[in-house]
Amino acid sequence: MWLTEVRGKKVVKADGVACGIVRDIVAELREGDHHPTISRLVIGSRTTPVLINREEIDRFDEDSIVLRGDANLMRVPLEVGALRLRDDELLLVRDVLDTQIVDISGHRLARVADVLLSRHEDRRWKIDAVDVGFGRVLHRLHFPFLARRLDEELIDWSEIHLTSPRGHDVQLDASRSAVHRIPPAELAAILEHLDTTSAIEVVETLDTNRVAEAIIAGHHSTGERLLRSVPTSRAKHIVDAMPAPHGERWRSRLDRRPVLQGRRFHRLHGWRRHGRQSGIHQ
Amino acid sequence: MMNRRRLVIGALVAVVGPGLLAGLSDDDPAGITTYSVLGAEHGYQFLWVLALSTVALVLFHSLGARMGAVTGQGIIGLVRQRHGVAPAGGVLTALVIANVGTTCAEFAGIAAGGELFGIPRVISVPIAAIGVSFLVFRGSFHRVEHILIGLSAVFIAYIASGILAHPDWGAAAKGLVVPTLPSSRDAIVIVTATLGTTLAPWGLAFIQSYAVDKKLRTEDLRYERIDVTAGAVLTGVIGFFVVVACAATLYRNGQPINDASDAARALEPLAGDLAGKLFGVGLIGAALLAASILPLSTSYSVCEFIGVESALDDTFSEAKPFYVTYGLVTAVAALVILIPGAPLISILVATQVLNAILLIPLLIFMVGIGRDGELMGDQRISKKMIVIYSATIAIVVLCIGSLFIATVFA
Repeated sequence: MWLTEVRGKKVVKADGVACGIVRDIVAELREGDHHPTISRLVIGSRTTPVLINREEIDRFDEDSIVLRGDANLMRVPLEVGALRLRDDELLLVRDVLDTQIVDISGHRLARVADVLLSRHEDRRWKIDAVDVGFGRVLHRLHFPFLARRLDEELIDWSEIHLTSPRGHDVQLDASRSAVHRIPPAELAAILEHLDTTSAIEVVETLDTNRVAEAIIAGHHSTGERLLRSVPTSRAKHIVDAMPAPHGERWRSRLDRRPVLQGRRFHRLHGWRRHGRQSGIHQ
Repeated sequence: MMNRRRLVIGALVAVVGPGLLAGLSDDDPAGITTYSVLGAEHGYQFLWVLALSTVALVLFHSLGARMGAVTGQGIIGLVRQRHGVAPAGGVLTALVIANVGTTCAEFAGIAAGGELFGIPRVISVPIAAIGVSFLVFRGSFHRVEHILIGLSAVFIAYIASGILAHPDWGAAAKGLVVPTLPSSRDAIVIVTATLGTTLAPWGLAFIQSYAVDKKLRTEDLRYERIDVTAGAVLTGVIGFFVVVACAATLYRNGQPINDASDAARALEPLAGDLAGKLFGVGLIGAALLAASILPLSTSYSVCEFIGVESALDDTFSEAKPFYVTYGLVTAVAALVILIPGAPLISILVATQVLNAILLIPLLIFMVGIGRDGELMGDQRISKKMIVIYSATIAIVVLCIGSLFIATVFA
């Protein structure tokens, strides 16, 4: 089931009375859970959304979502944008759909065309993957005959890092998120893809040794922009954690006065590969 | 003190580019033609429109650069993220069609400019198309930027041309600060065209995407403001000199013109051979600059929509959609100019109309996204600035609406 097919679906009570249409879907990112669970639906208008917990949903029909007979609707007199989400919750339409993501396995930046949801053995709906291909875009634009000619480009949820502000923060809070699991060379590629503000936030959640390994594995300009952007004491600790020859080289590099106020070494919002075909090297 | 000044200049030099290129490429052959007709048919009286356009350019180009630096995304990418694929697809379709049409105008400018110097279009247009493609396909970001900024120096030709025409500086100053309202349909057309040619949709899309490609940071924005202001003011200054050159010669002698190459030819007997030649050189340079930037702006926008990486530093294999789009836009535009009997005038008029129609939703999207705290954080547009942006949009709507009414009733 695709997110864009659920969005806009009619939500009806057990007696058939309409409650509204699906505006957004809330997913919770939990410790050790590589495929987040759908926890709530946001239905109704933008000004008075209604939150429905997953326990209140009876079934997903072809053209509607049917609630249980005793469903309790929680009316929230706020804009969807101001919904009070828990720290581990995401809004899939607002924070994921059509936003940029880093495809960790492909080391590339892509845009989410759709989110694939499926019902697992425990009867819970979960996020399986995101589609970053143009086929889903064409499908959403009602060009199915063109969309059919293009293959799906699915990336498993556990292989992506979100770059939308809330998505980025929520993922970093989940210590099992992709950036916490990947080896140094791939971590270096991720840091290179992220803008500096986001990259520094990632660096701040990792232990010093892992950051040092990633900087050694990555391109020197990425390492330099990061080390020049973190507090001096943090940069010193990272360099101290490197093996002696690398540490020596980085100390002398950081001691040099940056050209043009460090502009060249503060290459931000960059996911540049510095002319390389692939892989990471110094 | 000296050291600090050197560092500030260094930082400024490092961020210069988006504002300068986006601004100066607005002075393309279509722009020069509009300014020439403004001066040749109405003298100095509508110079205030140019001043107003320059202010609008500073406002919206600054916003575009800021949005690019803060979000790391171009306007089409942001429209898709905030409003979905349908609105973004609609804007992109209109933008691509308008950009291809405008690129045709740039190659028409190259053809006309070449013919002023006896070079037939079958030679000048393919050479220009291959040249700009080679520059983008083979050059790194910094090389492309340096060459384009170097090419911008050709605009000095218009300033020299304007001075050689010995204008009435008093009348020019009065026209610049004392507004005269347009009363005829032709005057409304030219006033709207002046606003429309300065504040172009492709320029707005370009400056934001280019700021992303240049990797500007929010910390760079105070210097970037200088770049944007300098680019916009230079655009206005060049437009001013084109208007005064034509007002001082063609308007005084009651000589009508149809396009910028007409103006160059007509200037020779009135302001001297050098003035006419300089005008022609300026036309070719302006056309080349815009013919490089328009396909670039289109490529950035297409890639933002389909969701693939795009940057001048990427190789062809890394960014195929980016380079294929660039090549296609350039090739289609060059071919249209080379096809004998192609309905060029109809294409150019339709393009101008489409650009005018597209400008309004694009400006509204920009302000809407610019005030979005979720995306812009503490860099979002303040309430005071929203009033100013809204007033500017209202003026653009008024101009385009007046033109529409004048055209319908005519």
